[in-house]
Amino acid sequence: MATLGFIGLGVMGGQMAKRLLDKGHTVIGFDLVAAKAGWLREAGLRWADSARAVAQASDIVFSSLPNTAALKRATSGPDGIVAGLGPGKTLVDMSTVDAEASREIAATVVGVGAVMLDAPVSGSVLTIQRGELSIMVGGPRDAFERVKPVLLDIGPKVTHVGGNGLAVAMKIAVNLSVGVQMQAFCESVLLAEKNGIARETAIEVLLGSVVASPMLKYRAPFLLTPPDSVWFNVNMMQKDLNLALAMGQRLDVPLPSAAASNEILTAARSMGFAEHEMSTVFDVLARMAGVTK
Amino acid sequence: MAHLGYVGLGLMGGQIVKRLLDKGHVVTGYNRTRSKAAWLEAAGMRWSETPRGVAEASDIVLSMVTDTKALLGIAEGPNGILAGLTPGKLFIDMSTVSASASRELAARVIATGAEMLDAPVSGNHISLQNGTLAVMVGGSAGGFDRAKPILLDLGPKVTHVGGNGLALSMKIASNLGLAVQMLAFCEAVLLAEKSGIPRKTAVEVLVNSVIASPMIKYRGPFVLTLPDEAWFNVNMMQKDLNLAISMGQQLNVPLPTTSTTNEFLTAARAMGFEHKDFAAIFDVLAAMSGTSR
Repeated sequence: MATLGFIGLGVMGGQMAKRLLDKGHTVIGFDLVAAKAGWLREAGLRWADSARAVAQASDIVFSSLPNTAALKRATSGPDGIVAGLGPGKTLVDMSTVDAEASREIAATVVGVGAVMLDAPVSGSVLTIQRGELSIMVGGPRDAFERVKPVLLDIGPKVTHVGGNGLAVAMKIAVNLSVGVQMQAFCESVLLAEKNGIARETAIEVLLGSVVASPMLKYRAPFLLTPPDSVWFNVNMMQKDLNLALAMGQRLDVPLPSAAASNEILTAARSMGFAEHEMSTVFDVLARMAGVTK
Repeated sequence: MAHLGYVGLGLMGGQIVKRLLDKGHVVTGYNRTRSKAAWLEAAGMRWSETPRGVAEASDIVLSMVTDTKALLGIAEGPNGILAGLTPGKLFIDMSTVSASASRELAARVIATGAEMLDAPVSGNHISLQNGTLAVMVGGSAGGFDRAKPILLDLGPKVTHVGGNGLALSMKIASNLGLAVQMLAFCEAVLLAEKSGIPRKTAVEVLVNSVIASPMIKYRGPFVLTLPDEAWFNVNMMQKDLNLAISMGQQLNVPLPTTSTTNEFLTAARAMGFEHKDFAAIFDVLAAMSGTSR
């Protein structure tokens, strides 16, 4: 079995590394905040002192980082991932970042004789734990075929969408609907509620209806009870919508519903909800509707 | 077993009657165009010449027609359902119509000694065939209890949401998500496509992602090929969004994503797609993106 590396052991990265350990893989990991990895080290993760050391020790290196700047930082410099890569190695970046930036890093990786794939995911912590994560992959097909069995250990749906950068492009296209669907859902709940239907009943009916996507099924209950920990906050959601809107302007694709939703996220930030789970768009709309919890 | 009646044997009503016949119910039916009911008569449905005749022959009368005007058309006048109702009978209207009009009609039904429920559905003829239709019910608890066993023959999810008219309110609140989700889906497909991902691949990834609601799973592929016969056409979708928007204004609930989406339905009509499935908003957005189906 190939030795795997994992850089970025936050909420999503940590869960994916755990799944790989559970499937019997050898995993070497690194995170800028060593404390985040404590529970994984107990589960058998081997620790390395830098991103470079992880890359040196592994055949396939995974990374899961919060944004483009963090990915650039983790890959560049004397202790970065690229410095530890060499012929035969594969970097699989699972972060949601700018497609252009991902393609540029892929070119640097090719420069050291290795290959890179962008492999962002559609799903949440819960989706990973249930083994229902879907993964989109961009990059050379032969590298995709090589890594596919390992990705299938993380989630059941693995799709090759095209060359480098196209999977992150696809991911951003998917994620705009997370923002839009959640907001339309909140509009539905408030409309039902002000008619006189109990909020719990409205949510139950909607989750039994044809609009109930997997995303709505796990996020809708947050309208009744906020989650213990935030999976995807307002800033992260707005980051993805901004990436989508910029891409839309570059490629000439009007995104009317994404643009409308993005403004409500701006309102959420102005109202002090920037670090709250993005389902807080409900609080914005509720306040606009004169509904107090 | 109670003797059932059914008025309005279109795409949806016809399939519902077929299912009731298959479950062993005795059904008397009426439709403005009799030829549409020939296949049901062949399957054992009894024919009546008027809605009044259906009501007279049945213990429980169901109906499903296209809009508020059509509902008043089958309910009023010497040959209408009201004229055939008597104490002890139950009238279940499954149409999506104005909630206040439905409440007014319910009051007139009570005056005959009978009782009325509003029972709109979430889903389409495919959901019905797959046995996944969800039914919302508004009206008294006693009426709901009588109707429930019959409605469970149509679909597994039957929810009593409150008094007369509230199921319609819930249905309209639920339906806004159809159009908004579909528009965001079309934005995603075009964004992926103009990034260089084949349209078919983009659709496949999206219908397997966290945003894939049951509606997206069946309607998403329509951006590849529109069905010959619309499942839910542009005009019908706009009728529901107009009901939602006027309800929002009446109850002071801002509906930003719904309002944005409604303009695309107007554009779809302007571009000649009014009788097409509302997935034709893809064609509007595609034209705005400088591409086409």
